[in-house]
Formats: sequence, structure tokens, C-alpha cells
Amino acid sequence: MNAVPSAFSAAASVARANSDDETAIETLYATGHWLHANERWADAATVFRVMLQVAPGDERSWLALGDCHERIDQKYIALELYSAGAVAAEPSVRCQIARFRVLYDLDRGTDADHAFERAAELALESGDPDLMGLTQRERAVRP
Amino acid sequence: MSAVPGATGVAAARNASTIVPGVTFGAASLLALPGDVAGDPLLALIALDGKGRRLGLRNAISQVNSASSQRHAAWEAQKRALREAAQAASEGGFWHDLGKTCCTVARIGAVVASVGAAVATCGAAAPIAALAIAGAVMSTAAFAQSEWHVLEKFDVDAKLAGHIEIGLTVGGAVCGGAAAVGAGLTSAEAASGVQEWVGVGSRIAGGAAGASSAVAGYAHVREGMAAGKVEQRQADAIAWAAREARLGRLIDEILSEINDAEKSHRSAVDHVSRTLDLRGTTLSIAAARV
Repeated sequence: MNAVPSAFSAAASVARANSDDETAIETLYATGHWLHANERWADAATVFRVMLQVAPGDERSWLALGDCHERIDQKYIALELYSAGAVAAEPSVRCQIARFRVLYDLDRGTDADHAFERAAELALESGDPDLMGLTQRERAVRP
Repeated sequence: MSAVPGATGVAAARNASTIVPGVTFGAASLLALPGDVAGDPLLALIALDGKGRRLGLRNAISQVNSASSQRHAAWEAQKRALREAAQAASEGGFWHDLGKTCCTVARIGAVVASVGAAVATCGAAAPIAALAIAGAVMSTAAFAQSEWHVLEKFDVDAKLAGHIEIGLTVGGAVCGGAAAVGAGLTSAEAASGVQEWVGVGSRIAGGAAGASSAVAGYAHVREGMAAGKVEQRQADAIAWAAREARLGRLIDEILSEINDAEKSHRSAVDHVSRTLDLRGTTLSIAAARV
């Protein structure tokens, strides 16, 4: 795909005019996901930044943008994004789990435990078996 | 990580399910697979732009420019009012510094209010949208520069590495300045700090608190002087000025990001159109999809 990254800013402008246009948001996410899958981290981040401004309450934009930064070893930037996403897209179990993973990798055990506990609380409150299973599996990987 | 050769668009995204981005240490990916998108994502973007033009995209751009003009006028008015108040109280010395501080606060208040007004057109709650813009600005800078160079812009240095995470360092700057960052907040405290920042942003974006916070701050310091605590209040004012300076830098970057995005979208769409033509796809096909 040869699209200029700034073209996605145009989509953001359009999507702002159609703030409820699900197609715009899904288009942006699909495009960013494709770029991410092809390891084009900078281009993917551009798309996800646009998506972030269009749909700040969508946890996927925070997660995906944070992951792009983790891919280039910018864990602190990613942590900031996951933390902001945990507030902007609350309740977001996945943002809390993302925080937990980064904090765990940064050897901040206490903060990591807090993040995991928060994720587990949110998952329990949601009653979603998938989310509860996700949190349980996390501890198996990072005890 | 391997990609399916020759795959493009949605097909590639679906194939990416086997790539599972975001996987670390064998844990499950947190990135959901994208939903069905009509055709090629690039064509979908062009189709959406066509809709946007019919819906008056130019009007949206002019609204942003109008907000910027109003911001400047509001700032000038607040600056005059606060300078007059500071000069009336005293001349030179501490009060001169305070006057400069209050003027800076007033400017930032007006700027933040304008940002809030501009992002309100996104259809999302203004504080959350402002949070997203701040995140986007940080991300943009981080891809262009080193991680620590970016964080240093928000007065976070390597010594505080173990305490970083205030849900965007700007949140810490607004809520409690460097003291909060240096205090090693727990994640729970950090999260509540971000929520407080969101609340502050909401009040400022409401339009009234930009000026009231400046006036309240001014009155607070003046009151402290009346009580004879000159030295303490002077220290408070200096610390407050440093905090507000950090916020001011962030606000300037946010506005620059918005302005650049709005200016470039027209040429960007034209470029994408040419790209489609090169691929043998015409805009008429895209328009027919709308």
C-alpha cells in the first residue's frame, strides 16, 4: 500500500464530521492493523494516532499505538499511553493488562501487582468470561 | 514474524491473525483482529473523504481557525487585565514576577479552552479528546526522537525512571508538578492523578475556569502575602510557574499538531488520489461505493 501517512489525517477530519461513523473507525483500525502486521511500526502508529483522535474512548487505539512504541523499545512511552488509555477508555481490562506487562518487564513488581489487581477487578465486574480468562492466563505467564 | 506474500488490505489483516501482533513471552495478543471493511481500506478512506466534502469539511476547518483567532483575542484581554491587577498591587520584585506568572497562566487557560472547544467537534468528551491529542503528540515526538529526549521535554529525566507513569507525564505536571513525579506514586495514585487532570481539563474547557484558575491563583498568592508568608508564597509561585510552563509547552505542541493536520489533509487526499490512479483504480469507483 503506497498511501501517504498524512492521508489518514484526512480520514480523521472526515471522521470528525461523522463522529458516529463506525466505518471510519473500523477502516482506520484495519489499515493500522495491516501495517502493524507488516512491521511498519511508524506508519501503523500514524494511523493509530489518527484513530486515537477520532475515537479516544476506543481502547484499541491506545493498545495498538502503545504496542507500536514497544516494538521500537520505547517502553516508557508505551506505559504512558496504556495508562492514559486505562482512563480514557475505562473500564479497560486490556489497558490494565498492558500496563501490568510493561511494569512487570521493567521490574516494578509492586506497581505491576496493582495493575494486575485492577485488571482482575474490572474483569470480574464485567462478568465477561473471556476477560476473566485473559487475566487468569496473564498470571500464568508472569507469576 | 512472517507475512503472507502478496497479500494486501483486508486479506492481509485476516492473515495477520496467524502473526498475532503484540505477542510477548507467549502471552495472548491484546490487539483485536479488525472487523470486515468494505473492500480495500485505502478505497474506503477515499470514499469517506468524498462524504466529508459533501458534509462541509471546509466548514470544520474554518471552525478550528476561528477558535484559534478567538484564543488569541481572549489571551490578549486576559493578559491586559492581569497585568493591570499586578501593577496596581506593586511594582517590580516579587509582584512583577507574579504578574508574569499570572499572564502565563491566563494565556494557557485561554489556549486550553480553545483546544477544548476545537476537540469538542470530535463528538467526544472534551477532556478525553484532549487526553488523546496529548497522547498523539507524545507518540509523534517519540517516533521522531529518542524516548528520553521526548520525556525530558516534560521534565522527566532518567533518575525518575522508576517513577514514571502518570498517564502521560503532563498529567503529573498539572496535578502536582515535579513533586508528584519524584514521589514515586503507586499505580493507583497515578491513575487517580490522571483522573484529576481530566477533571481539571474539563473545567478549563468549560471556558470559565481558565480565567478563574488564574484569578484564584493570584488571589491565593496575594492572600499569602497578606498573612506575611512572603517567602513561602514566592516559592509556591515559582514552582507554579515551572509547572505551568510545562503545560504551556504541551499546549503549544498540541495546537501545532492540530494545525498541521488540518493544513495537510487537502494535499494528502490529492496524493492518495494519484496513488489510486497509479494502481489503476479511479475515484469514480470509490464514489460509487458511497
